[in-house]
Amino acid sequence: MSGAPEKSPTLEKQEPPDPLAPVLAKAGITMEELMAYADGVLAPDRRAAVRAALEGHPDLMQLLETFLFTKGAFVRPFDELLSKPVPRKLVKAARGRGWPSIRELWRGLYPPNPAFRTAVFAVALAAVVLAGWLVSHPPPENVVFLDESGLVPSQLLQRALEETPSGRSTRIAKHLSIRPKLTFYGKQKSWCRQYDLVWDSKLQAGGLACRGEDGVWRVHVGTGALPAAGDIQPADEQEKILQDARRGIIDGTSLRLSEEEDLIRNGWKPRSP
Amino acid sequence: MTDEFRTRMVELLPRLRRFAVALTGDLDQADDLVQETCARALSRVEQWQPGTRLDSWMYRIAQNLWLDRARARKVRGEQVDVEAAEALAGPDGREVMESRLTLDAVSAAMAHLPNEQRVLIALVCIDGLSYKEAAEITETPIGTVMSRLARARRELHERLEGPLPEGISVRGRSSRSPTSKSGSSA
Repeated sequence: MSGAPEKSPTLEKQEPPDPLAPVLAKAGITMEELMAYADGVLAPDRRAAVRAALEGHPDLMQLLETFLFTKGAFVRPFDELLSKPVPRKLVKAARGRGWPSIRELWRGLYPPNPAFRTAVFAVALAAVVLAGWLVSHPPPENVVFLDESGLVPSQLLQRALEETPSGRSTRIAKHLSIRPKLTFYGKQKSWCRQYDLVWDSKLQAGGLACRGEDGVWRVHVGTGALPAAGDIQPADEQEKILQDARRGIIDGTSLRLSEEEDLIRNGWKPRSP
Repeated sequence: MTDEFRTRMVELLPRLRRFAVALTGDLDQADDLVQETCARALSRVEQWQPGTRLDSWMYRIAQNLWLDRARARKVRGEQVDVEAAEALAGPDGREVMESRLTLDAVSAAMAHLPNEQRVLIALVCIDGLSYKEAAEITETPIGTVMSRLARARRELHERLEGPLPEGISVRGRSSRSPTSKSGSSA
């Protein structure tokens, strides 16, 4: 008697014998080999054995057809789903909030160079300053608001980013104007613009905004030195922050004015690959 | 990485939806599963290794979510898959088949398979992944994948196209009742 423990037959589910097993054994192939043959992935050195088995055993040919069926006619109703439109709620779920968190920014959404990290920190600090200023000095109209996908410029600012050529100003509130500085294509396959926000003819803030597939401009980086904000960031410091950020996301070089004019005229068509 | 990740996830949606329909047998349930899968993926984006296949990673998430749901339903004693499928397609998928197979008919046949087999059919037959890729996603040895797959394919053919000649029918030797739903057999 063997010393190996025996399993109780009542505890193990017994699979009834496969009636094809003797046929397959006689033919010298396995069920899995036949399936792999039907799927076209059987190792070349076993193909001849399967072909010979099929010739000698018609039952196996019918079994082969079951495997072919489940990769052919059976799959078609499922494949038809591929050409149907995907519900909007699913696209929205996949896009998520569409706005990188500070953590994601930090972890390398943009190149993890120390200058950029310093810039992110400066921007975060500036945002806090800006928020404090907005509480005590509400602007005549909302400049930006936060939706589920990030900071979205107000309608007026959206329009200004969409239509104003670089170097020109558009007033978006009583004392506030936007002046796009340059336009470039971003690594995230979208058009981006760097702009200045000017309060009563003085540069007060700047930012980088990129245009999403939905045609909405979203602020990626913003500096926020506005009047009475306490620590005013010098213009050259703001420019440095935006320059560093721009370097992280630019794909190629910024557009010439004539190229930018074409782009505005043609409704910000995506760049050809 | 996150924007690129999201873009790729949007591109993957049609295939992910097809995979979910194959598992659930129902478009509404499939959409819920896809939605939940996207939310789970986004919440764990740092676990995905850039350079590896996003589709395999997403399928694994969808599969696990669906299996969790199926287990919870089993605990509650529900048998909704087979019952719902039969309501759509009749007790036998063949009864609604006319000149071609419909989604209801193939879903009804799928509903009779054990969950593990359904996942493999969805991955290999419907999505076209290799046995090895399916083995990695389901964390199952490749030999087990192939034997489960062969058995599932024979059963589907039999339910949709009629039994094979006597002696090689897969249903004739099954120890399960034809309408019972198993979540564990190989």
